Amino acid sequence: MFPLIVIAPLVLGGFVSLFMRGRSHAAGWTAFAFSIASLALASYAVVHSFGQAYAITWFAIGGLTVHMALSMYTLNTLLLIIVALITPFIMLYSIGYMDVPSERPRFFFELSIFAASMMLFAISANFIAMFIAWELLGITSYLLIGFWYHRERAPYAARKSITTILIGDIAMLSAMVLIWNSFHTFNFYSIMASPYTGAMQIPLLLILAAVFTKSAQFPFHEWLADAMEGPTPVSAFLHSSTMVKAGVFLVALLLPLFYEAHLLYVILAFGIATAFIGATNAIAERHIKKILAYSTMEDLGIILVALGLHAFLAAMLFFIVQTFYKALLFMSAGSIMKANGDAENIYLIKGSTKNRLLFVSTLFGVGSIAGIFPLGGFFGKVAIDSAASNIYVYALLTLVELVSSVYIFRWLFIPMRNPLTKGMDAELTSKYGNMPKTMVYPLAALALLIVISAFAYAYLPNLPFAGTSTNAYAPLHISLMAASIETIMALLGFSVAYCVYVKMNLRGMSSHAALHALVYNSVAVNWAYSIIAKAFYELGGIINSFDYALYWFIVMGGDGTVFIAEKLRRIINGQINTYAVAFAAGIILLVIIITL
Amino acid sequence: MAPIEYFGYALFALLALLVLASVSAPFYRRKKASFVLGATLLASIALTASYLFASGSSFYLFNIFKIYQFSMLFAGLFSILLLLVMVLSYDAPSSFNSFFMMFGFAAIGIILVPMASSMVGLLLSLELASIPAIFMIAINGKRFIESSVKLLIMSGIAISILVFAMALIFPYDAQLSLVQVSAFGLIKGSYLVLLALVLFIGGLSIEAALFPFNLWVPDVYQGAPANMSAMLSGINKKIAFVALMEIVFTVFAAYSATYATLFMVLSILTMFFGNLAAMVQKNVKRLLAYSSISQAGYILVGFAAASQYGLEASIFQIITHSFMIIGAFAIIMLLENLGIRTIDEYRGMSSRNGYLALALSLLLLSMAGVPPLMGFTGKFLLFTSAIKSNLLALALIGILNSFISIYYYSKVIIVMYQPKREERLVIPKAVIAVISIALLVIVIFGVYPQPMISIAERAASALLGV
Repeated sequence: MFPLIVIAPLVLGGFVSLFMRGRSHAAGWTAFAFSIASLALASYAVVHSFGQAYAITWFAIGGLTVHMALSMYTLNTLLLIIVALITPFIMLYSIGYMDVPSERPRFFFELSIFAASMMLFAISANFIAMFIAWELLGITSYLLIGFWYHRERAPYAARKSITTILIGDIAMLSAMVLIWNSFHTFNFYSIMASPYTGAMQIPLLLILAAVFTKSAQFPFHEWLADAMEGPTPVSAFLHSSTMVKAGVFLVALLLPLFYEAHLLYVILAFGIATAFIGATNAIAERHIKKILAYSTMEDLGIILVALGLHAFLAAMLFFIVQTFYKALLFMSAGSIMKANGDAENIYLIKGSTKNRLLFVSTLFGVGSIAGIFPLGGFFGKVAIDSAASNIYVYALLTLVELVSSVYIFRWLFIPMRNPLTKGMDAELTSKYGNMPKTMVYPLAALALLIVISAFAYAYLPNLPFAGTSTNAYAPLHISLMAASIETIMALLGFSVAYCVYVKMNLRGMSSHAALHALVYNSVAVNWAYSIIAKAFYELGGIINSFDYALYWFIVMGGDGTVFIAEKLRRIINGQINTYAVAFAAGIILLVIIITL
Repeated sequence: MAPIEYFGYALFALLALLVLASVSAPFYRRKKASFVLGATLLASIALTASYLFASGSSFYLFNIFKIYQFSMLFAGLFSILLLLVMVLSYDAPSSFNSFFMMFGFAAIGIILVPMASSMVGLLLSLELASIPAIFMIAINGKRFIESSVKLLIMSGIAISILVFAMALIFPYDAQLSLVQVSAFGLIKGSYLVLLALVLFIGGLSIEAALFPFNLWVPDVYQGAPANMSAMLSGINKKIAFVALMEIVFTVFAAYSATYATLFMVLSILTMFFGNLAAMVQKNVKRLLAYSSISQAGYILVGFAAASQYGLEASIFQIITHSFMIIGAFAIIMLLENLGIRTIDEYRGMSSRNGYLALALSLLLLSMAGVPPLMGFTGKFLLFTSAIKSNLLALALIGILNSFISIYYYSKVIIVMYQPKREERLVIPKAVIAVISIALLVIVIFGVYPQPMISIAERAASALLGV
């Protein structure tokens, strides 16, 4: 029961801010205060009830007992703390970001519920609790992505994300039914403790499908880039610790099952494909946030690769460090966009160096993503590289890392180098200078966290992951060769980006160029989506015509029912003697029944 | 005397105080005094009853009233429901003090019904509960006389039939006690006893609104002021069910096959009658009257299952429905006072008052049995209990009826959310309180039904003595 209290402040804060006036910043500060309370409670809960499991009977009906199981094992507390830690940053940043007063209460409400559902997800120990959180994440992300519902593209983006995610929900639900049928329990740990049977294979594949929709893996990855229509704090939250992380977290939690079912190679294959797609798309994209979105896809792909290599600790290390640098980069993108009047194209964004603190903090994020020693990203990536025993996997990973170094420096350099006109210079200086403090200081703090997160490398192997592991994982280590190759790749990427985008000042590849078509494959995926959607639409048409036949039956039945109802209504004529006769008839009816 | 028994006497003392309060009510000049007094007494009764329920003790009071978990659950429930009805009636057009005099007597009868340990006690408390209702309708004005007279005549028939049934059972059980008879082997195999069973069911079916004993219900519910409709369908109907449980499941326990068939037939007829007739109604209050008839049919599914599990499900659904219907009639009452009666007049309710439209929608959806509201859980329990007792057909008919019922419930909801510009509605605080309590109950115990299920389970096993 106790871990649920951790979530309470966020839910409460959400509702309190929903009923506040939007004119002042009160709603935001309230949500922030409650998220701090959640963080405090979460830290206390980790100390107080570490390693404990809880089960609340949700309902027990005639032999069927459904529990809400929660646990505070190492993996749970890890994600709980990450989410609880990031939430106040997001809230603080949103206070400055959300400049539409009338929308503030709704925004902070949805954000709080989003965070609360991720926390519930973090501590869930059975499929029931997990699925509730999973669905809450889906619906709140839908609301947040479509937050600017009056804009042209936001509702489409929201609908795209919810459609993709619902495919996964159906897969998850089917998996749950199959698992219940073969195990008669929903508890993760009971399932993992029971001996492995071949019946697990299909449910696990279904769970993987659900994970791929949630974590935006190939072939369900396209919603993530479109989700950039949401407000930037939402992107920062969604890409760092919430929602997309839920999918990979579930794989990490159930890794022993995937291992026993010999499905690790599936995870590996999809992970590497997505990482590749993400990295190549990012290099061709011009939308400042979409570059980061594709980068997230790549990150999640790499986490799955690590899990596919059975390098659990390396995956978790990358899981942790990715949270901080991705949150920081999105916040930085949001601040820069705000100063440029919501411009989204990196070729139109200017003066990104004007605010020193903002720029220096951003550098930490960029360095981390490129893999510069000693930032967190370096350790995460090198740990995974070191675990890659297969030479092809290693080569592909290295390639992806090179590309990611190129695109992130491209992301950094192009806005820096965009020429400024005289009048614009002064205007931008004032805009960057007068930026709300809440949109700059959280970034500096996150930059610090990026440095600190590198220590997770030393700390992670000491944690007891006993609650989840039944098989020995590949140990966490860093080979000198992997480290040096990673550093070379990062520097190579830096120099390529510097030469191409700074020295040569290339204005980007034209959209018709063959290379662009090859690299920017998002179009092809969307085209494939529309083909599949069209096929389903055709199928729907056929089903529709069947339905119409059925519908006529129902209509006829309905008409018949209404006819009977009309006749029945006549019986009630307001005459009490009719009612008395009916009473007598009823008694006679009952007597006839007992004599039969 | 065990210490816990003092609480039993305290409960009795509170009831006696309620008598005093209601007798003295007409002499007060201000209505606030009797309201505060009544509210305090009812709240204390609810608290005492829930304490006695939680203690799990079982003992007799003066040999005529039994305190055990079954009676304490319903005593507590009914006093809460009575409190809600009293809040609703505070601003009714009739003089509250004279209303309260009758209300107090009815309240005592209602609370004593589940506690009665003999048939005589049961009959007297049923009488005490139903007769004041006739006056409580009539005092509202001349146009309410018709429905009060209808209620009078039907209650008269019911009571005479019940007395006759008791006369038939008398040779077999001279004490007319409710509990002991079940142990008697004597009571098996006589047609006179079977006839008594039929007459008990028939007589109580009048109040419980089972087809074909219920034709008076739509007229009376529609003709009575809405606060009285809430009381009749939320409380008076439920005490008939409680009485039915007490008599049938204890006295006639040996005849479970017979009464299961009877209840199954009645349940099917009632569900179809209520749902079909509701489809063509245009007046929302009358629609709710028919809907409450169909809900009586659902409750009977648990009776037809004739098992502890079925009883549990019925108890759960009784609790559910009383909150739903009182919440819905609270809204109806408010709108009726503004002259809004038919479905067409409900158009655009969402833009006139969003909370009101949302609340009524949720209550109606709960009645239709949509998860995650309490109505769904109730129906789920009922239909599973039927399936467990090998009554798959009954469960399917019940589900078919739920399907039909969505037609007329959604008709109201759709109309409420259609656009129509009119001036805003202001809801009085008392009505908001009642609606919110009903909503909270159906949402909380819909999402997390376990506490309510275990309460129903304890009450059911207390009644069956297992």
